[in-house]
Amino acid sequence: MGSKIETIKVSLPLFSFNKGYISCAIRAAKKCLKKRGTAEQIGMLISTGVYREKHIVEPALSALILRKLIQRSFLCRRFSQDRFKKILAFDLNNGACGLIQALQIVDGYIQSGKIESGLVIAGDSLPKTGKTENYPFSQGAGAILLSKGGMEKGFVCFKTESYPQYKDDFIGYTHFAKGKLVLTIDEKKNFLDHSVSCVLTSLENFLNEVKLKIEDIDLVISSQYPDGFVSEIRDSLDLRDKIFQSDGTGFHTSAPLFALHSLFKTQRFRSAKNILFLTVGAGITTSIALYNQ
Amino acid sequence: MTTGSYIESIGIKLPDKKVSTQSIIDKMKLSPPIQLEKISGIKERRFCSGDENTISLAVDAAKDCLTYSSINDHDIEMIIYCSISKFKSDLSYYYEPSISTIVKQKIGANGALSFDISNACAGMATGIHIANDFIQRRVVNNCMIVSGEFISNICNNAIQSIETSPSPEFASLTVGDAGAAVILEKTANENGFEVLNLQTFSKYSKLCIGKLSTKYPGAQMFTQMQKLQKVSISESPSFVEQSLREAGLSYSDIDYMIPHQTAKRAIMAGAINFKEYFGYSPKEIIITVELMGNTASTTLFLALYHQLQQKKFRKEDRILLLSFASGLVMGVIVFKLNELVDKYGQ
Repeated sequence: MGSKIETIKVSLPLFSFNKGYISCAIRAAKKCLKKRGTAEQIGMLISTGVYREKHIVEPALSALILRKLIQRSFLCRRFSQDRFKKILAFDLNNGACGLIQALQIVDGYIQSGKIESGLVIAGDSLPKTGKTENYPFSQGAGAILLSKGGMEKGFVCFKTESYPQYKDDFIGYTHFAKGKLVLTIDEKKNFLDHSVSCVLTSLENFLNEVKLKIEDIDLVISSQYPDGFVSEIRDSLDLRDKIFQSDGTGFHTSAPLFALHSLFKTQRFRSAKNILFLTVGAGITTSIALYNQ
Repeated sequence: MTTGSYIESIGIKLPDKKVSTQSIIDKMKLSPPIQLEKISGIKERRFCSGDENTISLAVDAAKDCLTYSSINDHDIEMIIYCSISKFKSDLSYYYEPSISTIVKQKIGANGALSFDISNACAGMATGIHIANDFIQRRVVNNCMIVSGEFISNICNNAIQSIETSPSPEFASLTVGDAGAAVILEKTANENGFEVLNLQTFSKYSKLCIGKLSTKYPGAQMFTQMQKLQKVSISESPSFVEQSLREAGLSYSDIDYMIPHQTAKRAIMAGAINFKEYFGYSPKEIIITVELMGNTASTTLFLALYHQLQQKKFRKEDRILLLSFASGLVMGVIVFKLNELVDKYGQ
């Protein structure tokens, strides 16, 4: 029995003073929990953003997000402390694939009965401090709430593979130059080609494992980066309109959540039986999940 | 109640370079108003030098762990990397790809499922919590939890930065570099963890903030030390009591407690508080800060490793690892050592 997606919400920067990841993540999470509106406990909160607001390395950003979810304010109703009575919050980082791996963790804890539901948040900041070089990602965050699903419904299989021969294809790092902190993205020309070939290999492995053919897949929600990735995969697998392509908004870890949010209440999503979540990122790492409904 | 995995082996890496507390004080513009060595109990700590960095510390600890393990490198099925710091030797900080991807390649565990987690000083405890769930559900049969903390730059930056007293950077003067690795393996008998409980008390999440510095290469850490210590001391006994009670245990069942290694006086204050609360004290509260300082996510396993090497424990001893971290995260891990004691101190 897999866990099901209760709800999904996204948030874009509103004003200059709250355009960072943490603000977006808090808004998305609040909308997510408000929509749910039940008293069940949230047992886990995982933040999967890679590029951290103000380059904060501790505490976990999830702890800072959680603090604001619980905190009383004049503007927002405080969520009941009881909903977060025994919550574990931490960050998970694995490039664009961290999101699916976090879903796998929450799904596992729900399956083993350790928690009733869990929240996964993804998004990235253009850090306010220091300089940036070649940073291609847009700011924004998404939140997804998982809870117990039915028999053979919900998430049924996860698989992550890595291809370390391409570990230098995409590197995001900071260094100190001329007295300034600089965030640099170093992307090699072959990153797109290698990403596509790695995903095709991983997908073949995955479909063999779940005993499905690509024709059995009704909808694919994928990473949107690198540019051209979605169209290459669509053409390679003849997916046509089965794969969602965004309007080029440039999200990184949150891209699949923005895609899912666009589709979640549509007939296209509701009528899909086998939904494939497919991410690719630095490493090169691929993460794939199958969601049944 | 036992859970599905046990500690199969532990490994560590300490850099060779020793740095005394006195040499740190000598470099400061301002003499600390406190007797740092007396209060912290830290005489020296290890700092990385040359090519040593986050990855080398983690890889060397992982290799050390494998020497005590019956599991081969290529049979490791999962790797969770757990450090706060992700610095290379030149203090460039790596956001992606994940460090776990690099570590698994360097130790020959290419097929392992891997990811990085970040949960301040509770990183390795959180990694154990996650790994145990994967093993319990038979997703994997084993998992290596590994961390390399290259945090001496926090201390070096505090030396340059502290100009007033008191300073929120004083806690930075206590840190040291280290790597640690633990392999968990599935168990079908009574060897498993008896308690694995972690919780985030997020209202205290701003009491300690670490971030990459815009003034100096590396990071800076800003801690409200007294508040953090007060909160940790006041919240922890009831959390430990509840964690043990849920597993059918009480504090009097614990033989040794290994708390997060911050400073000797803080640990002693916590121990006294525990004795007053529970009316009992374990055989010993393990303190290892004297020669290693605070090594963030690796401290608990560094302390456990050294006690194992010294043949301190018996097989039937019940150990409580007490994790504290910015967040505020508290964690309780309880287990009996069993065969682990036979592997060390030979």
